[in-house]
Amino acid sequence: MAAAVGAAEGGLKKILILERLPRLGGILNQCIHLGFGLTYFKEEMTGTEYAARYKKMVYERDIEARTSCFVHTITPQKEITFVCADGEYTVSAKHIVMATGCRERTREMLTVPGTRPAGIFTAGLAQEMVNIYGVMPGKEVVVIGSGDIGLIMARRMTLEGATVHAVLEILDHLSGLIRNKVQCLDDFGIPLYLQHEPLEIIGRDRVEAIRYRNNQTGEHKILPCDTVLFSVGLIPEQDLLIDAGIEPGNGIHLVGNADYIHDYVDAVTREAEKLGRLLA
Amino acid sequence: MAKESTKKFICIICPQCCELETDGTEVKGAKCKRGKEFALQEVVLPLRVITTTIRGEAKEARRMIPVKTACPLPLEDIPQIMRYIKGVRISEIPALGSRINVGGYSKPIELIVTGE
Repeated sequence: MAAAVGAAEGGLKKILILERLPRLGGILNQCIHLGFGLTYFKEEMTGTEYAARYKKMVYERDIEARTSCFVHTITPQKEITFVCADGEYTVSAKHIVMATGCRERTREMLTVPGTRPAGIFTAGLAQEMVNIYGVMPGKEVVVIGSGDIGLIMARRMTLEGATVHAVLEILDHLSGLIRNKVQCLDDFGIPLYLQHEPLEIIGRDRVEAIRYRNNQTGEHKILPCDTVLFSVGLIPEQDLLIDAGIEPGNGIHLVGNADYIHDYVDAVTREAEKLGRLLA
Repeated sequence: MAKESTKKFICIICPQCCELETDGTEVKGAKCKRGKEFALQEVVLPLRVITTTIRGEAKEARRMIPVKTACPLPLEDIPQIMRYIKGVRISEIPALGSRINVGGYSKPIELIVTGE
């Protein structure tokens, strides 16, 4: 959205936003917590408010935004093919801005041994379940990794009535922001175990426990739980380019988390607006 | 409140995460005014804004509606307050920024709708 607004501000006339989901805003729509907009809008707002504010800026300008459109192919000639409710279309463009965000690293990417029962989620997926669909992933939770989403979800699950037994972090320091540790873990008495590594997920049909090791002492422990949330890093989403064998450049641009992972949406917005203006 | 002992906090007002130290009257380490206010309040009674969702039961769209409390509330009462908020059901889709009252707590709680 920010790239489109930037381009429109710069005077570009024909701008099309293609969004896979039914509404604009992406992951911001599931971020109901505060902490957004402090540097860009100079006020603290929730992710949903940030998205709403930006959506308004898009709709006020001469920008065509199509939702529920799934882009499946991009060619080096800058032709984009997408499907939507009324069929399949191919459009060509002078510039393509890939603002596709990122994906979460999963349990499989960490290769945590053990069985494959129900009850294993990435933190962002759990966030979508709770905040958008109102479904609780489980009641007795262990969070693996101390990324910001994991911290935010530890609090969110606690507020919704679950018990978060621990946040395990393999490193000797927190990977998220300190303020998130303070207001998400310390406020609710959730312990953070640094230098602790998950060794095995135990459970037949549903997660029953997790075995982990304290890497300082070498001590093993088994912690009963029914849900494991992974918050172990994000990977830029560039599959469209990878599938087509295209490198960015020559009119194809990556922006925001699709380029590299940012800590703040405000920084993404600035970067994208600047890119938009450059393209105009 | 014992004035001679000092307390240490990490400020959660903004991402600078200042390390604050206060004895209840003076604040050390704050880079801004809001940090000072935060530390002084934190000694007396920690307050937090709650962000959560309420269940929307509109016929055309059954979904969760994101809300935040209009003012910060005592941290220690959050589990209790969450129970009152979770009881709220609304049958229409509220506009962004509209307000919803929640009863039950010792003082009235106002929620602000944060999403569309």
